[in-house]
Amino acid sequence: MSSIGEAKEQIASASEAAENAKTAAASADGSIVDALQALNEAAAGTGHPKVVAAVSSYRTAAKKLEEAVGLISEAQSAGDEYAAQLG
Amino acid sequence: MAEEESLVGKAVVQLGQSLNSSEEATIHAKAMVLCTEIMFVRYRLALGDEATSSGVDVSGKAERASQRVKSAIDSLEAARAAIRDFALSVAPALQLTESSEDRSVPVGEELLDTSNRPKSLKSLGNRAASAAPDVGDLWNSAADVVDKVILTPPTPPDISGAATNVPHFQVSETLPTGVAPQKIVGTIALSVAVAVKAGAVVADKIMTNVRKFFDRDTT
Repeated sequence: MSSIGEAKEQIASASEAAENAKTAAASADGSIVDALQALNEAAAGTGHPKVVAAVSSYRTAAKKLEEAVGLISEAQSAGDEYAAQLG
Repeated sequence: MAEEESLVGKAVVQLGQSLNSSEEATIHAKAMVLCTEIMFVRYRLALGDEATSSGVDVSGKAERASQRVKSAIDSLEAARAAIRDFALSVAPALQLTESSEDRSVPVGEELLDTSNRPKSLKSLGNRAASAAPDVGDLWNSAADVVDKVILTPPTPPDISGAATNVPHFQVSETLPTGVAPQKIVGTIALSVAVAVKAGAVVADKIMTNVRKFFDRDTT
């Protein structure tokens, strides 16, 4: 266990990393939206199984990122709460 | 027609754009992984091995978040692989059917109509050019030569045949100056081979370019 000062510093750093992760997630999500849109424009209506698979994979990726952001936020909140308790 | 001819090119560009955006998403996701791993380490350092706060496994959540993002990256890679497979499997079909809605005659049969062949070759050349400039140049140079010589197929070509089933053409004496007859014959043979194979040859060349395009944008 770190000293209180060190612990707060580490938590602050972790919280900053969490914010960066969420920013990166927003960018990744935007890129996935772009990727889906481009794929739809290229192959909309083909019903080709590979296109269906690609769309599904994109959506899965977006879902995973959403779940990750949820976990990151929960960790960040708990960490910040702990830091607050440290005084 | 020009609009139709650009459809294949647009589709290829859009597929490439989708791959680019997917790659961008992966880069951002990798940044996320790095951040979540930093979180994991920092929380461990702050909270100790158990890394819990108010009953919440803080570093554990960071670790699971990292795993989710890695899984997302796998999904993005799977999407790109599927798009590549799609492009590789249907690009020849796109080449041949992108204007099928307005065609009463399939491209392959149209190409076998001697009177219509130069125009068809030019048309296919333009379409190929939309998808891959190098291939389009090849097509158009072949079409230009066809325009300047008289072609007489000795037998009706079998469009179900393979590349070996290429008819031989008689080249007129009015050859374009400065062009070796062998080169013209070779070019015509290539054109006819493409026609007989209903676009399969040019499709292969297009896909070679598509692969290069994809490799360039995803590596």
